[in-house]
Amino acid sequence: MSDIAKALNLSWECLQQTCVTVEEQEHMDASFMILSLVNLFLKETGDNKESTSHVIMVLFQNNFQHLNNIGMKLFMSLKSLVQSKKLTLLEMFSEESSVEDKFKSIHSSVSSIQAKDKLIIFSNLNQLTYMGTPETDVFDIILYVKNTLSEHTCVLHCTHNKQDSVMENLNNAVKHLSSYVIQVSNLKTGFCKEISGHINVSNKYKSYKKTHHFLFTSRGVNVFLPGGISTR
Amino acid sequence: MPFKYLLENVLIKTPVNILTMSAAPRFTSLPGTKVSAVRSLLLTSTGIITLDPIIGGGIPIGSIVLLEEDEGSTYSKLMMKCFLSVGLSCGHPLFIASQKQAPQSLAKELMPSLEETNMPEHKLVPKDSQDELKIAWRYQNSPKFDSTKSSPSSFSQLFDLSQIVSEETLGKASIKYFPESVDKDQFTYDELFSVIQTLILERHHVDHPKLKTVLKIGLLGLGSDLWQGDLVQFMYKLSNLIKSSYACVLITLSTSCLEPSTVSRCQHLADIALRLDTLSPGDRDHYLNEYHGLFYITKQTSMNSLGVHIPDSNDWGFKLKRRRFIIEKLHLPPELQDSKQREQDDSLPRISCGGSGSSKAAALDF
Repeated sequence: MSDIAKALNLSWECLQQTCVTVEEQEHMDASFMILSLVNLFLKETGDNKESTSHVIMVLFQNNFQHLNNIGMKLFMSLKSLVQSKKLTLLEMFSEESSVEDKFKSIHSSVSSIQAKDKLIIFSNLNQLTYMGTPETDVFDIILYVKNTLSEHTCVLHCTHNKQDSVMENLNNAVKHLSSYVIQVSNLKTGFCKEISGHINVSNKYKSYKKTHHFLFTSRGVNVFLPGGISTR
Repeated sequence: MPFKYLLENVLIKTPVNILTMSAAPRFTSLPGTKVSAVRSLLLTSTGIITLDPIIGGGIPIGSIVLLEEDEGSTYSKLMMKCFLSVGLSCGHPLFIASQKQAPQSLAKELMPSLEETNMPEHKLVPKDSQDELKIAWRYQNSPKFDSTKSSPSSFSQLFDLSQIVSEETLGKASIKYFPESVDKDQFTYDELFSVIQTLILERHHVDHPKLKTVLKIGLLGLGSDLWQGDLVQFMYKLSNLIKSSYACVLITLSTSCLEPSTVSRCQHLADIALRLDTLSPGDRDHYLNEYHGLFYITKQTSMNSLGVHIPDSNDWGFKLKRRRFIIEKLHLPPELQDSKQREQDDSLPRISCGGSGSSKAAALDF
């Protein structure tokens, strides 16, 4: 699991930023990237026994079982993290409440957790628009996140869809607020047994941009540079 | 990785209620299902024996399959009937919703499996294959092995499209319809969702302790003007509900009435997205003459797995025979000397070294 972050040159510095965007292309699943960020956060903060760390996962889709299974394949159990009170799940898909109520609920839950380092993951942000939430209200919730939760690290997970202008506007807004943008995309030309897709990592402030290829294997994810080959 | 760890953590995981974090009872021997140990999924058949391997073995329990309708929706309806028929023959409860056609009449068109009809197999074998063998005559009397043979409760089954299920079988089956009676012209997605939600929460939710069946939900012609309400919102609510249930859904989508962005959102919310494209007689010349249409896999499921299942090919075609519906890899027919394709190739200039070999005048010889 730590191999992914290491191969992508993602360090503790990345998670000290306010916002990190993980953008997945249509029909691509970037769950492994989110879990590798969780792993990196827990690894970096776990060594310091004085300061406790906590991960909060805000789910806009009923996909915890999927995330847990992906975690199992990458040797990380989300269920045991929940049981050891290192991870809190906030389900936002079952409530039929307004955006303001949703944010208040998230904010109060985050405030009630007593930990020095907190990582807040907003999984599938685009699903807010599927609930029937107006576009402006979705922008409001992103601004709330930026302004009120800025003392913690926020990972905003969204999906890129060319055909959906609303979703593309939302993605642009999310990326504008973030200092780090990690784009996970599949191959444009179809399927290949040597490469599953590519990852673009960019840092807005350091004008850093790099592309890596990755391959899904039975043992996990292998990341390598373009022109190289998967070693596993 | 230790083997014990694999057994405890990686193998079959049934859906889990997030709030309680308790695993649902493990039903590894449900009728009409099979376990995919690699992907930690319980799979059920689509009813089309050639489609199951293309989408990774079958439809995962707790998933939505979206099928974009063909022009005239003939073949999409046929695929829906196959999906419901396999559920009927395995004893699964069914839920059928349709506004284009009364769901009760759709149920009457379902097909029995070949084993149930006890049809002699030689009737399905082409006549040519029954002729006496002229070359390998020593194998004439050896017993024939049919790899597609299946038992009534097995995973994949063959259906005879020319037959319909008996009323007695329909009477015994547990089938719910929407709308139950035609008392008004149009129904909303909210009404449909509330009926499905009630059904799942009562009997098919993962928290239900005694249930040992899979609910098969067939929604025909969603997206057409006959339905009112927000389709994307309905799909969103349905996908969240289905993931915590022992049910799977097949939706046929009338894309002609929808905007591309709505179709794209529906594809994103579905686990598997498929598309049928019929070929008009004008398109079926040359090499496509044996197919009735093209079959596209827009999205494969990545449920519980890192990557998606990679099919053998990206080009698939479908054809309807008298008794069978077949989806197969698109391939060119053998090129014969008198075929139009060959004539066309001969008319093209050829590149060759030395200028020898070709009897025709080669413009690009050097």
